[in-house]
Amino acid sequence: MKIRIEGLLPAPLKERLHGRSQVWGQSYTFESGRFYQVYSPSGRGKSTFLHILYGIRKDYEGAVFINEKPVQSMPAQEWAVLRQKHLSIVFQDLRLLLHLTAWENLQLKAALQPMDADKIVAMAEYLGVKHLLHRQVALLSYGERQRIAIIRALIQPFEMLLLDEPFSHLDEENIKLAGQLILSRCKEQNAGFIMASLGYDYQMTFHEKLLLG
Amino acid sequence: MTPLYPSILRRNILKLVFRAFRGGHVWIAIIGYAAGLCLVLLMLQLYMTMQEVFESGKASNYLIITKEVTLFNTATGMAGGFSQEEIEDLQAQPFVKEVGPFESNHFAAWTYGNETIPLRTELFFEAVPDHLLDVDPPGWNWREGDEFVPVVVSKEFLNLYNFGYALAKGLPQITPGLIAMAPPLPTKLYGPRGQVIVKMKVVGFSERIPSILVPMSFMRWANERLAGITAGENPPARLLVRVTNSGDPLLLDYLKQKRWEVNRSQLQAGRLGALAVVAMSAIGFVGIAFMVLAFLVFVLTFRSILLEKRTEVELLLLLGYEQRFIERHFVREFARMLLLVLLLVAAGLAAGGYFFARRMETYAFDIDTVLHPLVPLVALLLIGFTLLLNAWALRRTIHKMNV
Repeated sequence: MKIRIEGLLPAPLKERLHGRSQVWGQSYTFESGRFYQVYSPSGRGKSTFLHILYGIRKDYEGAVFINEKPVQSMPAQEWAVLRQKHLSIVFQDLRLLLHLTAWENLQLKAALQPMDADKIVAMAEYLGVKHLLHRQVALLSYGERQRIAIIRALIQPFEMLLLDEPFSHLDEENIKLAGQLILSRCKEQNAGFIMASLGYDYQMTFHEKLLLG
Repeated sequence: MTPLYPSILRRNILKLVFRAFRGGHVWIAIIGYAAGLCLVLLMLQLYMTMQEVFESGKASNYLIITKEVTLFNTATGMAGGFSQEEIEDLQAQPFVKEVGPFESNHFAAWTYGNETIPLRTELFFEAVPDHLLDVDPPGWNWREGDEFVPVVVSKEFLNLYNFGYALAKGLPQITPGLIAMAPPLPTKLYGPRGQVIVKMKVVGFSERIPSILVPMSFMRWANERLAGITAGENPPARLLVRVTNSGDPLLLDYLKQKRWEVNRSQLQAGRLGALAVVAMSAIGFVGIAFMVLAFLVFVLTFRSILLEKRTEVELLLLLGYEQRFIERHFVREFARMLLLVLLLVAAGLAAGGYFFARRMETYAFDIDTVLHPLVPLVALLLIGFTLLLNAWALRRTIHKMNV
């Protein structure tokens, strides 16, 4: 999968832009199999950038192409297919349904592109949340929820994974485990990821590091 | 045994996400909508029934018109008949469908009675055009040489006999069936041109015409034979008139202006009918207003549910669920609510129909309580329209979420 941006500039950031950004206003192509970090201090549009790539925000100038298809005019049906099979995401605000259990939240994804229950449980075990799977998400800590959200993103097949500050509430040990799990799932499918962060490396190696702004 | 970590099928996902779908306000909306719809449909049914009653002439759309009997008539011995011009003028009125002049006998008649009907009396007869009779007795087409002359008697006469004459004289009461089985009554008819003895047999009872009726063919034959009077020679004294609506004010004005007389109760029935239609329309309008309000509550309730579940719907779209998949779920839920409405309406109509039939029975009103085909049709149309409108609104709401 290739995600190409062309003079991309979100409407709310237009006035605050300065010349140093390697993303805003630039042309760049993200490819599967490569790991990207997009970093900046808070408030420079990291989430906005990932939301634009994921088709949630449409208030920008310039263009985004996925496999050379302009996304702005992509019909809802095509987005659904992309999000089921090709493009996955971990939201900064996680977006879990609090009244459901962790397991039920994971099944929301598994019902679309079935994955063996054992495999899902194994991932949960690896991240140390297996014993929490039948608990209501509302009763979990933010760090626990974050790990559930990461597992949910890894259930589906993907070629590119978007990670929006995915480790913000994890301790070092858990960051290491989560990082390893993400890497192994990416390598398994020859997929890539774009991680938005404040700039920490989280003991991971990236092919590219881009300053957002 | 259910597995510890059960996979959830895609078709069950939405049930999981949107569980606890029906709250109290949904029930209120369902019941309110059903009540409004029921009211409108009941009014429609009643209206159609009334329409049928008036159309079929069960109510008095048949009037018998006579001229006022004045002292002049008494003094001169001349009956006030209707001239040909008067009949034609009446015929030309927009509220008149048909005019049938009565023909009277111009000869005397005496019946000797028999064992079943021990009635010795002088008689008179009248005849009206056959198709204006409300009964169609066998053998009504009389021809010279027939075994007996068929007679249709007013139901009132039978009542008078049974509850008046027979009781007073200690005679047995008789049923219509018994009369039909009774042997014909020998009757002497005599006039200026001679006399003849015929057998007369009661073959039916009329609720419409208070008279003793014989076939027109017999009346003309006897008048000619016994009195030498041909048909149309004498102006008819009574007219049987079929009108479009006996409550029509134009009709009432016309009769008043001509100073002709008509049975008041017949007119009253027509006016009551017209009043009932007006009252029903008013209730129908209230019903429609009620239904529109209930419909709005219904639709808004559904929208509010959708907006309450906005987070869930948006998340599902973000995870890659198709809009159509989610829409279908809501449309199905909505259809289920409408099915409930439909069931409630059916129950309401059945209860209403039963109640109505019972009430009508106590008034000895023989009315069909079978559902008019228009009623379920209108119900289905309204429900279908509601479903379509909501499916459309639903699609718009989900599209607007724009994720």
